[in-house]
Amino acid sequence: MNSNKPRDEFLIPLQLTWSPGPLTAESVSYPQSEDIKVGPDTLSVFTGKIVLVTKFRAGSEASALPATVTGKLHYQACNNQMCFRPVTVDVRLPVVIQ
Amino acid sequence: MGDLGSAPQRYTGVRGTLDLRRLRLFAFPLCLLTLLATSACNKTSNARTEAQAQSKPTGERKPAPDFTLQDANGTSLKLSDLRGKVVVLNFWATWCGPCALEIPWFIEFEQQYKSKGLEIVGISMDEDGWKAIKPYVAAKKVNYRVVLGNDSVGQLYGGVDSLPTTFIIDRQGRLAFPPHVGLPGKNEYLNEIQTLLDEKQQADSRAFIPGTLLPGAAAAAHR
Repeated sequence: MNSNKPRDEFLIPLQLTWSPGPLTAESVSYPQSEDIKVGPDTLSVFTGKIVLVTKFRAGSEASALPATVTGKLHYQACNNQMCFRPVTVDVRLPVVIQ
Repeated sequence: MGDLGSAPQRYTGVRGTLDLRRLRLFAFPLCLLTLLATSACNKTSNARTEAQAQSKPTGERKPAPDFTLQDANGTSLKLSDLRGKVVVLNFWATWCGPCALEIPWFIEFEQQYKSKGLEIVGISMDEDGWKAIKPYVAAKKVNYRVVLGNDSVGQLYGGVDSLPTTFIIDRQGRLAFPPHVGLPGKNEYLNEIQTLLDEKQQADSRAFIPGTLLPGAAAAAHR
């Protein structure tokens, strides 16, 4: 699927976003993408298993309890013959704030 | 980001493994998740030999479901108004790389065969609408009609779950070939277009049937 920084402005990037909650997402780090050729174009893509790293910050008001952080992962996948419609999936991350 | 449903993570910065292979996408073969330059999957998907590309006997052709959609100027295009022409009905989107590869072919076909009765209609499935479509078609110098599609029209054509998906319609408004799901070869389009342009116009009492649903997936509708 497209990486978080596709080379064409019209392509839909992979994007992980987090909702306001017990933790505040400060940054999301994406892995190194691969370049592949499709026809005359070069695409920036992710394949197989990838790791996304999110740095969270707990506010002073956060209580030391189990909590759940929620977010959304938006992505769009193709091969060199066809593309599938963009998809958004909900993400739930149970955390323990200490 | 943690695995969905995993045990609680301590707050130290959260590292999560995203296994793209386990994400719930559409029901399609696993190999289609991986972008490959060549693969066995790609060789078989939408692979049709010259023999298989022969048009369906006229008596077996189903009417193309009628619809009305708007172009960038707000002008309505009703499919049944194109009766008498050979129509290439192409579902596409600005975010679809394979779709971009065939647009120059359609531009060429429009130039070469419009005077002989060909009409190319691009149905964009862009959820961002004209904001995304207009600059794209301008940059590509698209010379044929582009209208903004929706899920309802996609459902009329068996559910357009992947792009590009293209239907070739004869002068009587009937689906003359199995649909192209994915990117075919240029000559495949050309052969089908030329076959239909050469067909004599036959009096046919069957008109476009408005809102007729094609059964099942688009790819299975004409097996």
